[in-house]
Amino acid sequence: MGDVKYTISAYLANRYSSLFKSLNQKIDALYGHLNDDFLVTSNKVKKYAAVAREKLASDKLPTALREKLRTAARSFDSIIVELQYHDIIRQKLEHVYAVEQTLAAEFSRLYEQRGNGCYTPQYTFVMYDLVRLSYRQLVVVREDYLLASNKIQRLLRALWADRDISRELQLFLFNTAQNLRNVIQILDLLISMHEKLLDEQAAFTVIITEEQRMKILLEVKKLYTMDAEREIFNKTFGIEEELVTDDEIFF
Amino acid sequence: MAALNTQDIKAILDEIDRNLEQMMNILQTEEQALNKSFGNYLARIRQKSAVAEPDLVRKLEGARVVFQRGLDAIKSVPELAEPLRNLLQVNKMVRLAVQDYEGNTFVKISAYIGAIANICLGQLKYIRMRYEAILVGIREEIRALWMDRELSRALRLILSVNQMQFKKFTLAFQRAEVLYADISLIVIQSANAGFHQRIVLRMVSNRLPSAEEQNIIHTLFPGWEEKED
Repeated sequence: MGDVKYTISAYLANRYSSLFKSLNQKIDALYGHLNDDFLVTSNKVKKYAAVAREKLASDKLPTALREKLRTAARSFDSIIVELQYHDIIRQKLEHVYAVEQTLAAEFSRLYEQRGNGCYTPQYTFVMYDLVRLSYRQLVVVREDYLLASNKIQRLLRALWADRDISRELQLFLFNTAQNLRNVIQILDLLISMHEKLLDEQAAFTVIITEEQRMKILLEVKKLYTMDAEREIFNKTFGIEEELVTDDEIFF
Repeated sequence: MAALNTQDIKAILDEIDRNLEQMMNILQTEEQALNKSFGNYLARIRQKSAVAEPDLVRKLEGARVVFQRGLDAIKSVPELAEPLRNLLQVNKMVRLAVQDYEGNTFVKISAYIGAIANICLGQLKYIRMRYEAILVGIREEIRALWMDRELSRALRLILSVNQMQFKKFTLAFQRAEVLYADISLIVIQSANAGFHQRIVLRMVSNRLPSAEEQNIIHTLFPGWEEKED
């Protein structure tokens, strides 16, 4: 990429190196909130599933209640499967993190050398493309999270609404609203910071051919291991590709 | 991040201040701890040199040079607290302007809050780079001494640079860094934008007087003093 012409001021290199670190620090905090969310829900659901199985082992249950508890146990199992969305979201965030970590490192080096070194960045040349891509990935992560979280809440609410089940299992509707708020708050902040960065587009000049640009972007694409991510990538950069595998569990 | 919220800015500045103060405290305690530790080693070297075999005496002399150099190097650690104190002054200036929300100063400063944050980021990175360079240099030299088992036994040598303190310093630095970075995203549309830049840069520049600090401002805003409004 030595023949790409670019001008990046020390001011921008300094600012962007720290801004991408800031974005990643927020993703780190998001991991924590997602983990809390996962632990609260999975611990409660595992406990209810264990109580249901224990009751089912007894031969004194009336048939109608036995049937209800069997259905409830199946619902708990399906909620535990649904909870895998945390893992999928985490992986998606890790990919955004990796791209922004590289950008932070490249801008740091550009700032440190302040035009005197021979370091040539790579991702920096397509920074705004990458910010746009991360922005879109984050918007979809937000949708995924709300969809999955709401589905789990719906399943739990339906079980709770059956008074026999809720009495037998001592099932309370536990409040995950704070976790949800924490996750959404950070996601919204991340999304708005990416929007801000996109508004600054062309804050520095890079003269790069379309071929060079796509070469870097296709390198980045290798990071995205999930079809849903690759689909966003393709849509963002107008690439037509048939994605044949179905490697994700969805909602 | 879209709208300016003066309470948010004040809270961010308060948190930055707390982190800067923590960095200053660490610099202070680190210098005192290393001073004491190196002083002890130099005393042990003097004692051992009087009774040791010639081969060990030669090694002890090498160690003495290392610790003496270490003592000289850490003299500059407290100096790094000074630019941190200056950053507190810059934050104070911004905080006062934010309090004076309706006033003219606020308009001037808020229009350039991103620029001010950028200068503070530059200063902060410079301080960390200097501190890291001092510590890494000392650590490498002491590690080399420690590798000599005869010498490290004779001096009861342990690796003196306190990793926990350095980690705390790094965490405080990182927190202050991302907070300044977040502030730099705030863009205020002002009718006078572009007009008051020199005034604001002058106000910041007055609070960052050393040659290194001035150099960072000039790197970020080349030729700002010569420009006409």
